[in-house]
Amino acid sequence: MTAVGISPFFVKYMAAWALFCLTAAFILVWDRKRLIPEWREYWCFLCVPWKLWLFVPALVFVTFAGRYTNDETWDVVTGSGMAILTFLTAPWVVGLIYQVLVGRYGI
Amino acid sequence: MAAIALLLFSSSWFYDDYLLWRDGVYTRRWLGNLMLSPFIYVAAGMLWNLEAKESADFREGAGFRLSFMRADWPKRPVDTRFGPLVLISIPFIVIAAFGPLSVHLPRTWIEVKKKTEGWPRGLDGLEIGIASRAARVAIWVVALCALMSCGFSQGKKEAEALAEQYFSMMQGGDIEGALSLYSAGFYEVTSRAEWQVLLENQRDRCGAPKTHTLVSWNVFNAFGTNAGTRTTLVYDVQYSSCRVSEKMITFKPDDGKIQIQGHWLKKQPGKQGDKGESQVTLKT
Repeated sequence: MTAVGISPFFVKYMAAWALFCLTAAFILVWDRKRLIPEWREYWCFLCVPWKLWLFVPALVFVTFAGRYTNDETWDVVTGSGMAILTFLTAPWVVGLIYQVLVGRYGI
Repeated sequence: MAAIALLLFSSSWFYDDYLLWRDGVYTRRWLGNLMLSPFIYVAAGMLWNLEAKESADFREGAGFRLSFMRADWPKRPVDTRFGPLVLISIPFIVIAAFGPLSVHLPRTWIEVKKKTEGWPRGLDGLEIGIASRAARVAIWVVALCALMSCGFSQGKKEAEALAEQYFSMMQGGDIEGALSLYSAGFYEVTSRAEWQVLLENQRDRCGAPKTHTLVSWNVFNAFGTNAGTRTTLVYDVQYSSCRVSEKMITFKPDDGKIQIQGHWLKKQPGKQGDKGESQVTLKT
């Protein structure tokens, strides 16, 4: 067996992160007037040719490398899902954190 | 808060949730993943935020920056070249590749260890050799990137030499010589006679090229059919009485000589003698 059962700890942990994500989603919806134009620009920002060209081999690697490791949790869904989510969100998240830290983006 | 939630969901909680659905139990790897994946996620975020500086030529030094430092981020960068980013992107690529592989060693290696050294001894045993394995992976990634970087640099150098030859011939009025630098593929689209007339008209209207500055470039290595190196160079050319933006595409087949495959000329608002006429733009 490679995983543990759902103990009360994990139930609480899941509830906590689900609540955290729901609150974040609520904030994003609340702030949509500012975010939607920004996301349109962000989409163009992501579609720079070299980023797409670099993403393709990265996606293939992360999607299929799992089968050559000892990690039973690293399958096509976790690999490709994390790669796609990372490509779509990581540049925005890192940029947003920087902008907040330097005071360019109000919370 | 939304940024942190996206970070943790994308790098960790999405994975936990899917595995819970797949296996019916909460994965035992949740904590390790929660601690490691954000580093990989941030490295990827930094990598995709790299951009070449708008006006910096590669010859002038480090021409890159992080996009989010711009006041108008996340607007698309003006300069979308990858060439100046090749070297700086290596550490981020290494972190992204090193992270997962350092934790999840290749299966075959573990099976050999089990047989030869009496494993399994649980997860602790897996830590042995992680550093050497990861170092090998890192060396491969660095070597691959360095190789790519050399290829790009060589392709650019050869294309620039061809463009210099073109400008020097045009400067000396040797249009026949300049015409010999174009490929057969170019003349399939625009006949030699048509192109000669255009170059002569260009010379009559604007004079000889005085100075030229490389504004942007990119190199693409193609494999398989039509294998070779395609380089795009964009020059800001100051003629005697016009300023023209010239985009040249050169192609060097793996087993052949480099030639001009495409050439576009576009008149710019000139610094001197601007007659306000629109320059014909030809493409191949």
